[in-house]
Amino acid sequence: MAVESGHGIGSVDLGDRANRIRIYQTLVVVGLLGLIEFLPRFGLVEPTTLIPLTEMLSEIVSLTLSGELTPHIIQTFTAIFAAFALGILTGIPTGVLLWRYESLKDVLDPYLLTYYAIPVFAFYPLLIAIFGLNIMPIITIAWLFSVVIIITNTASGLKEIPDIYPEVGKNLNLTSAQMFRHIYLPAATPYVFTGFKLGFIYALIGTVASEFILAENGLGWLISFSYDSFDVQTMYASMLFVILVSLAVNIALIMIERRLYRRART
Amino acid sequence: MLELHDLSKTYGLNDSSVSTVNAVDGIDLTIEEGEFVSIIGPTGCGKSTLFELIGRLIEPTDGEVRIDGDTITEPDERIGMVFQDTSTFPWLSVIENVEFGLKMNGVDKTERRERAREMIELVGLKGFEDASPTELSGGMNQRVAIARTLVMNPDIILMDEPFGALDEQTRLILGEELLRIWRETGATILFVTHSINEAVHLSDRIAVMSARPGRFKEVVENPLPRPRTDEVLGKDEYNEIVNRLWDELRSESKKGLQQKMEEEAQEHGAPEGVQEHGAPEGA
Amino acid sequence: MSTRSETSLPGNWSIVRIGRIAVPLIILALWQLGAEVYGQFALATPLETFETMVDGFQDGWMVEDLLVTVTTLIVAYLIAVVSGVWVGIMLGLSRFWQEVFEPVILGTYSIPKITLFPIFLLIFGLGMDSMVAFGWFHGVFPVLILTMSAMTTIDDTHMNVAQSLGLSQWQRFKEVIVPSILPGLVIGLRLGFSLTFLGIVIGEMFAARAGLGHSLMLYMETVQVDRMLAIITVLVLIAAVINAAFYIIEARLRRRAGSSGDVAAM
Ligand SMILES: Nc1ncnc2c1ncn2[C@@H]1O[C@H](COP(=O)(O)OP(=O)(O)O)[C@@H](O)[C@H]1O
Ligand SMILES: [Mg+2]
Repeated sequence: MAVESGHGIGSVDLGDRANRIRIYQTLVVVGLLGLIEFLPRFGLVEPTTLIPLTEMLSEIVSLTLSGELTPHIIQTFTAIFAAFALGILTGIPTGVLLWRYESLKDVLDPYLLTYYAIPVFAFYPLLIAIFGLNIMPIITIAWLFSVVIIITNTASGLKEIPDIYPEVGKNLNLTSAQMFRHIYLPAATPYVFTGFKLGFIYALIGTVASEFILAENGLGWLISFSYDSFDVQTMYASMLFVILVSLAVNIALIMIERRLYRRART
Repeated sequence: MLELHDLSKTYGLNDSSVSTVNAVDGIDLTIEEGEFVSIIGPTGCGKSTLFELIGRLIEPTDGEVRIDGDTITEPDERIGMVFQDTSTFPWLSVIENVEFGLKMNGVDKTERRERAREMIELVGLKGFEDASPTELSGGMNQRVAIARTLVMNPDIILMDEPFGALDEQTRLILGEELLRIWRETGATILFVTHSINEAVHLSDRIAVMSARPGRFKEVVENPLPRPRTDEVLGKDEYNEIVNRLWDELRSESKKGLQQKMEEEAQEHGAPEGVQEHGAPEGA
Repeated sequence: MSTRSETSLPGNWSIVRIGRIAVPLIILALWQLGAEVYGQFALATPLETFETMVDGFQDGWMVEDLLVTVTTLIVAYLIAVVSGVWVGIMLGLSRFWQEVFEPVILGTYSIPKITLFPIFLLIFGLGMDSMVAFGWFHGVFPVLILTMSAMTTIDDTHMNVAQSLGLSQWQRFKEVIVPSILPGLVIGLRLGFSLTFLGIVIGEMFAARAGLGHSLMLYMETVQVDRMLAIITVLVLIAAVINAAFYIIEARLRRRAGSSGDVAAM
């Protein structure tokens, strides 16, 4: 493959390049989706292995209309929001503590760095043994999965604030409450939001994955249940539904984040 | 009247760290009301430290700051500060930045809006009230910062290399504007810079700081009449004072550079190549 | 960026060190406390867990599972590394193709990949093949993404120098590309390992005939909490040790890059 110079060679029109990229992106995505549609349609893949994309979509529609999906959506999002809320309530104060007490952060740093290397989901069966098979172990796992990213982003977001902002506040002799409310908080918001964004996505992954491993309802459960009962139609429909939901959540959060960062630095 | 009395600062004294830095040592200076005084000195000589000491952002190790005879012990509303780095808040609009201090002091909205608008006009930013600082150039951001300080009606304005990050052109223009604002407000200005030209251009008196520990090597009266027109700046007197200040500074800059290289050698284990910054510009 | 904040002190350092040692001890103490409060059936004590673990190694039940999991892990990880690095470099060589594929890759990375596990089961059947394939899928993305983004940090002049010296493709790869991307690559390798590991453990928990994840679910059903805890401990230790090893390598690379960054430019 030839090495392309990164800094657009003189005459190349930048808008043109962006257009070409968009065209190829569309081609790649359409190609992948086309494979999913036509491999099973033309019998190149067994219909028990893969069903056409359009069938997945129409199955989603009928599952939604019949109301079969609703209880699972409610169950899953209850767990996600509970875990996320818990993550914020515990993560933000802990993050502030780590920022305030630097030696505490020094002590915990190696453990925080290792945290996401540990397969947290291994604790799930243990939590089921303790709490029983209900929403509690799921919320706990999703919370464990999301809280640390909120903690570390809060702490580093506050630490990354340029010294100059608090100095302006000091010159005005602000109280510590004013300082926090009007300087530290707005200055750290974009970075802390990145923690929220990741925290929410992790809560979503934690919830769906736990449900998938073992549960009694929820979207993740629906996928594994329909797999177990050889219901390929429902399995692919619920799979695609989860994927679409997480992509939508991702895109929405990234858009909010971009808006926040645009106002972040002079 | 602003009096600095035996002002000193040594970093790293109370935290059991092995190395201490004697940044500022025994600074004495009296500045009359409405005076424009510049402080020049090599990089790392303690100019910013002195500035922070006067503004009471940091505690002095020794000595005191007096305004009209009374010693101040915390950031004083009679002192306004303008920083070198962009200090405007990107999460607020221009006018919200300018009225920030008033808001924090509980001034009601209509009044603070009005005062902020006046200041924005004074610094030449009329029409940019609702812009975000992120959309403005460095020079314009510095105007916002100046307006934010002026709106508090300080008797004394401390400026730490306020135009240091700007290009020469913008620097000259903002210097002129600053002189106009100074005349209109009658404030006392203490101006930190590493540019001899800028100091001569703007001030009544120029204090030359020595390499660390920072002391005043000399305080020079500026003989140039105001307004400092091109004609004035073309005279022999101008060259004379610039050369004199440059002579004072040359040896200090060398010392400063030496210190800097030694520090870097300590940090990195081996001496880096000689770097040219650290020497003041001008002459 | 608190460039001016007073830097860490030698006196403080030992406090941090003591704190770091104290953290696992505190966790052990809390574990012990929890075991006593909840009672032996819900939670085994650390000592009991340790005894069970030793028994598992002597008796062999742990060894068997461990071998299955580790073998799957090694195979899946190797494939993930080779494929991820290779595709990452290929895409990284061309900014254009990189920009085309980046959103697709990042989008796939952000969804809860575990939900796609049934597809692997349908294709590869219920056995080691599907575990390896899914472990690869779960772990390849960070390797690919970080290799790709490390490729953008290669100095264009370095590539030009290589070309002007008439280096062969392989020489260019070995002498210029690899040293340049190594710091970013190693981060990708670390994250890729963690995710491969996580994917395999979850996969085994969901559907497998052997492996630590599989036994974890088995002992949950038979409520053998001490064995569950023994397995979790082994999993956590593997993750922590490998992760620590990666951090040591990263630190070493950073030190080398910091002190002799100019050598490559000669
Ligand atoms: N917070 C601090 N802790 C320790 N040393 C400092 C601190 N701030 C400044 N210094 C040191 O004090 C000296 C003077 O710094 P500064 O006042 O910023 O100089 P200038 O503004 O003249 O360039 C420098 O050697 C600097 O490294
Ligand atoms: Mg300075």
